[in-house]
Amino acid sequence: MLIWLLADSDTGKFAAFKNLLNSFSAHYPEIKVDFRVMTRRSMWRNIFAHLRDSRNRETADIMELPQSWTAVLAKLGLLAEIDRVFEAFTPVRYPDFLKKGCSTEESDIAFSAPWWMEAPVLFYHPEEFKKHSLRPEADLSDWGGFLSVCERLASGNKKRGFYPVLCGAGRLSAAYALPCVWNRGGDLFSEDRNRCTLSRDEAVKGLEDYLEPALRGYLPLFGETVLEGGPFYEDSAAMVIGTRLPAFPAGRKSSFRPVRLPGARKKEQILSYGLAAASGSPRLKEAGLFLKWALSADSCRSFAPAFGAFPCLTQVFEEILENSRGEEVWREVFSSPAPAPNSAVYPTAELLLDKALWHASLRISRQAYTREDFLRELIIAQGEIDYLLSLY
Amino acid sequence: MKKKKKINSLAGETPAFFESRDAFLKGLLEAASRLSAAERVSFYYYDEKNALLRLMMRRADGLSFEAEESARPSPDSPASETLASLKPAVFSNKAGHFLLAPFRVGIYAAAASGEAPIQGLIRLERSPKKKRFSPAEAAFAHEYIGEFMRSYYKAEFVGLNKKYSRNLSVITELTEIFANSLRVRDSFKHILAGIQTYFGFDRVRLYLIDEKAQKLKGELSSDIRGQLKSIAYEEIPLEAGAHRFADIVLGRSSGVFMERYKDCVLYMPLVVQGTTIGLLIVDNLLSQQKIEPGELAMLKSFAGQIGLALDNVRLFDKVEELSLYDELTKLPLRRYFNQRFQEEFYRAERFKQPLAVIWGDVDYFKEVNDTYGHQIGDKVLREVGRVILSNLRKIDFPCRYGGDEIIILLPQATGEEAQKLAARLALEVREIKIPVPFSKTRELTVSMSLGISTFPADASSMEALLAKADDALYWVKSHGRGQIALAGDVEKTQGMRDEG
Repeated sequence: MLIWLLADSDTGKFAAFKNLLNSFSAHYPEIKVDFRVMTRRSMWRNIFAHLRDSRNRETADIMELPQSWTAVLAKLGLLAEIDRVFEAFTPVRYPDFLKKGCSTEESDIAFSAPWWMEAPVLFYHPEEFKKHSLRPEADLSDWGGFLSVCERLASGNKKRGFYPVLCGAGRLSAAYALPCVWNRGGDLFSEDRNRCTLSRDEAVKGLEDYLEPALRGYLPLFGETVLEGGPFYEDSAAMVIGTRLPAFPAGRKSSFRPVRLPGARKKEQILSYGLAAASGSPRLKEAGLFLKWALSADSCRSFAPAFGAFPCLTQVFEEILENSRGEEVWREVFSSPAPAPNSAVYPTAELLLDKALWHASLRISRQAYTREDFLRELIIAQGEIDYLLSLY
Repeated sequence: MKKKKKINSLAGETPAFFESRDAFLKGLLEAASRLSAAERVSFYYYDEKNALLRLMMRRADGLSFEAEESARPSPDSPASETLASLKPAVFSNKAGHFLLAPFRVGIYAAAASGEAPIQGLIRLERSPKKKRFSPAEAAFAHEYIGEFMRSYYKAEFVGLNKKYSRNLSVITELTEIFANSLRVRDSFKHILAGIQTYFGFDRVRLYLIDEKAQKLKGELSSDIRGQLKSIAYEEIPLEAGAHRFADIVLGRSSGVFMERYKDCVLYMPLVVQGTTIGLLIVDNLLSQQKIEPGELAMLKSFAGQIGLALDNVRLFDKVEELSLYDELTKLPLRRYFNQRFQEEFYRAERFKQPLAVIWGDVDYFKEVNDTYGHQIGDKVLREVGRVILSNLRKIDFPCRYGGDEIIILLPQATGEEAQKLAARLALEVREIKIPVPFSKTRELTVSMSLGISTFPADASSMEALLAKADDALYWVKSHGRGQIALAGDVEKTQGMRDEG
């Protein structure tokens, strides 16, 4: 049985998965399991390569997916109904906000089961803040405040290689940009989901907010220290925008603390991931056994927390939340959840927004960024998304 | 010398065993990690255009995995130096000990198309507590990786050859499909299915130009799974600026959107003998996968063949139409009727539904021809055809059975329903006025006699059903013409007369 796993910035996820697999194999030694780790882009490409040429291009028996991919992959006939593979799957054991991510827009039939989730927040270094008399809650309440904090941190620390803020994901991405868009009252789609609203004023301003720290030089885009074993969070940054507590060298406890992302905070981006079985798999029985094992309370209790994420199973999620550092912050974040839309067009829309942000990053790093270029790119992306909305 | 042998023996096992680029990278990282006792090994390729080192695969904790990482080395960093000098570099810092081994490989096809060679570096890491990398280890790793990359070059070359031979077979098979399209009615399906089988786009759509309506009309679409769907509901006016498809067909500028789309959409106007007959669009918009230049070139070279095949299909349809329909009345001919009658009768029998037949002819048609000439006779028939076609339901099937004889099949219709239709037809036919300038009356009016029979009430076989309708028509003609008779009523009347 082959499992496709999504790549992660933290190798801890793979270690946790290996542990999960070891415990599964101890119970089911007759089932041979292999797994392959792929970036989102690579998995997307491989899925379509399989659709194009299923005879020569393999697919996995089980896939880990962003929940927002469920609808499109189910519509393309790639996913098996979860009920048929894993009879004990009961959606009521998961928070309501995750349920839409299990099926298509048109039906309640589940094609993926929620596994783990994370949410972008801002991690800050308390000592750095203290040194500059900064108050995390009060000074980081909105984006303007956040930029002022960056400015004070930058002017107060002239050390080479120091940046006020780092991007935990390693690059600018759509998932992290959307909260800024929401802050300005914009969104990716209109309320009825029939139109893309990416080039509307509110959305553009939100995206510009997101680019601003990089434009002002507070946030590095293509980390130089990566090639030398970095990033060295401890002394190279005072804040990190990310979903996991910044890692410290082995044996040392991370001193960063979470605070909600600056802004209106009416809703918080939740990035959730699920497990799904491939409809064409000849090993659906084994896949069912694995899903049962991986989604059990015991497995969920050990898997996601091992790399700083949260399990989806409500009961286990509550347990983990209670014991997490910054419990209050996480509780606030998860009390106004906004998971990515699970629609046929959303994954492509996300790819197109990512592409626009990537081009903006390249231009910023070459000091060739212009608002007009960025706007043009957004207008074209919107046209493309609108066209897809009319088709799918 | 000993080391050289070791390198050769390890590298020698490489190319044939790696069936994909992914497997090759895994193999390389595994071997490099094993030989150098490195805890982490990362493979970066150098994106020269953006001056970025982009991670392709990493190996750590006994596992190889992909990860997203793009880094721009600062000008004075070991990474920049090693890329410029193509010599390995070792250094240490608080994160551990590092060895950077650069590589640069020229791929045959890339060189031919003027592309830059593949360039990058492999980074090996040991934790701070472990031993530093020595210059000898660096030299060995560099040489070993160089050998591995040369094997990769060979494997890529073999892969390219395979690709070219596959392309050749695609060309042969698609050509056959297009040629066969001359003979099959559902050629559009075959053509779209053929393209999807070999190229597998997210979607393929076919539009044909309707010259009369000056529109580009949707025909058929096929998705990535090969499922076909009619797109007949799509109609685009062939006017400049009305739609970008219209602009493409009219050969006008396609604008900024096309620039963006060119990676994952291909618009192919289908041109036959200098005339554009349609538009074929293939796209990978949903998946956002780039259409490879090789695929683009192949499809473009097929565009002419596809256009020709489609044009032939349309001509074939036209010829078939001419052989099945009467040009004068626009009604189907007897040959086509026989085929439909069998189908409709079978359906009526199987689903136990009624089927009515109206058999009619134009009263005194021979006299019309003899008195006013065949031109006027033709006008009468043309008008009768028009009246019939404008009064029928979609499922009804009329036919010019011969001369002035018309038969109409009315599936799911009872005798009473058929009688109502016949009455309407008779009325409208009487309203036909054919101008005859040389006659005293200045215009000619006509009437029709109509006989009706129904299944299963009047007959249980096809032949009997036709015979009964003919009997009813004969009865009308022998009783003053210009009327309608039901076979059942005629039989009753004749029965009563026989008894009387």
